[in-house]
Amino acid sequence: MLGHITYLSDDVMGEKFGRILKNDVFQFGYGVEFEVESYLRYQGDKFADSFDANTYLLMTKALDYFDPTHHHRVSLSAALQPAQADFLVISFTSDWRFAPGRSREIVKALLDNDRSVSYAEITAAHGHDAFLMPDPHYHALVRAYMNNIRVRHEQEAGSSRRLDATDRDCRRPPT
Amino acid sequence: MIAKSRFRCHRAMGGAECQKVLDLGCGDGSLLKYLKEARNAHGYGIEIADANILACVKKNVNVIQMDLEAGLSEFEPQSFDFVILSQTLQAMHNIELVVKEILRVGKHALSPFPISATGDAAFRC
Repeated sequence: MLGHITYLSDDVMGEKFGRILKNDVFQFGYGVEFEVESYLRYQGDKFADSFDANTYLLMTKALDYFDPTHHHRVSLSAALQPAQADFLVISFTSDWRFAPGRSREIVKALLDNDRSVSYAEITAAHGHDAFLMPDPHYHALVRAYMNNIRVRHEQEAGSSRRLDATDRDCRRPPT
Repeated sequence: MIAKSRFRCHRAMGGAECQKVLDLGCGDGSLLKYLKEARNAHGYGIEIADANILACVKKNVNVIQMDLEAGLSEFEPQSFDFVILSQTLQAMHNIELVVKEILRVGKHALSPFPISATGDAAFRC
């Protein structure tokens, strides 16, 4: 359930459950007393029914092992040096799984390499799950960025078509 | 006023092409877009307002969302030919830190700011 908590945010959990008790008084037992315990137990049962627990163990290990600098024993800047792509990095203020600080490390490494990069920090209350929410600003950013990619591709396709036409013109025997 | 400031930034940058520029408080990215198209300058803008981040992305201008008042720790010393702080200095609280950071990351600094009643911009390099 620790994993599940990291998808949520402090604020949302506080707002939703706070320290609300299922009964008005402490039971001094090990059963479910707080509303948040009840919620987490319910989610835990649901997850256990839907997924093999080994999947979670495996994914947790995969996350632990993930380190883009590991194979070369270099800094993140050096590891990203071969990258040629343009980058749009977006983080969510309340995400404590992929915290904004980690994204800014990526941005710094890309800036060190003079890569084309934009970075946006979306103010959001929903923690890691914020990327699943219909946030108009976040969607507008991704839409604008993707639209620019489409325009660039169309322009490149157009110019290569024009180049092809020029090639044909050049190959045409003089009249 | 923005057009005049843009012209002055252009003029102050001299004749060299392909300069690397950092525009602090870059607004909607107009100056960087202009410098990219007119001067082939490569650069980044720094902004804090969501609406301006979106405007920059729409213009295909590289922009980093961060609070200038916290310094420029993402940037290495002397990593820019020009750092521009256009129409922004007067809105800052932590001016000393910002100016020190500008001088750290940039080889040249431009900071036009409004000074007269007509809204004209004084200019210092």
